Amino acid sequence: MKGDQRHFYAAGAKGMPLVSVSTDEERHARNSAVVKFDSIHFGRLEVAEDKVIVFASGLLGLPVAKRFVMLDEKEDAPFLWLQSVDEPALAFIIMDPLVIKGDYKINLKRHDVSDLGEPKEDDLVVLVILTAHDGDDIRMTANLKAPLIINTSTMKGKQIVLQDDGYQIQYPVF
Amino acid sequence: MLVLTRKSGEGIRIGDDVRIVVVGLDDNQVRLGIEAPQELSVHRDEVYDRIKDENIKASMIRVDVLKRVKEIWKKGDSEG
Repeated sequence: MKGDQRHFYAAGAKGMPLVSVSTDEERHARNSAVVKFDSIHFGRLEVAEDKVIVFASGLLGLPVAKRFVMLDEKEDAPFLWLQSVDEPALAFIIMDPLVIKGDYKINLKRHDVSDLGEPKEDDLVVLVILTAHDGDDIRMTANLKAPLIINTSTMKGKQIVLQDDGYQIQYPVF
Repeated sequence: MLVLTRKSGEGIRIGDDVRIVVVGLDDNQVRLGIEAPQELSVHRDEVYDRIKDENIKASMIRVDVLKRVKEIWKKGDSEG
C-alpha cells in the first residue's frame, strides 16, 4: 500500500450529523445560530447552523446548491433526506450503502478528501443517493459509482466519482 | 475550443503536469494516453453525464413515492 493511500469503509449510523424533522427541541437545546429555510417536502425548517453540510462544489449537474441538511424522519426504514438549504425543491433520498451492499468499500486517497479538511478516518461518512423509478411498480436504485463523502468534524462534503471500481450508477435496491 | 492536429504517437501538454498522447488510430476511434497527477480525476464524458442525469433524476423524488418505497422496504424486511 502506498503511503498516501488509506482505506475507508462506509460508516454506519454512528456519528452521522442527523437532524430530526421536528426541529423545535433541537433549536431550544442549542445556543448556536439557526438557519431558517423552506423546503417543499417539510415546509419551513429551522436548523442549527452546525448541522449544515457544505458541498463546496455542489453535486454533479447541480453545482449551485451547496448547503444541505440531513433529515431523519425517525422511522424504521434506513432512508434519510438530504435537503438543500438554498433550493426548497431540491432534496434527495440517501442511505448508508452498507445496508444494501454489505461489502461496499471504496478506496480513497488522501488527496480525494483533502479539501474536506484533513479528515480522520472516523470522521468520514459515506452515503449514496437513491433514485426512484416510478411506475406501476416502483424500482429503487442506488448510485454506488458516485457516493457522497462527508467529514463530520468540519461538516464539509463532496460527491466523488469512483475511478474504476465497477460499481453501478443504478445498483438495484429493489 | 482550441483544435490541434496530431499524428499517432504525438501528444499535447496541458500546464506542467498533464500530458495527453495519441496512442493509436482506427477508422473511427482514437486511443488516448493520459498522464496526469493523481489528484486530477479523469473520466470519460459519458460517465460524468450519466451521473449528472442520475443526480437530477434522484432529486425529483416525491414524498408519496418515498412513502410507497418505505412500505415495500418494510414488507421486504418482515418477509425476511
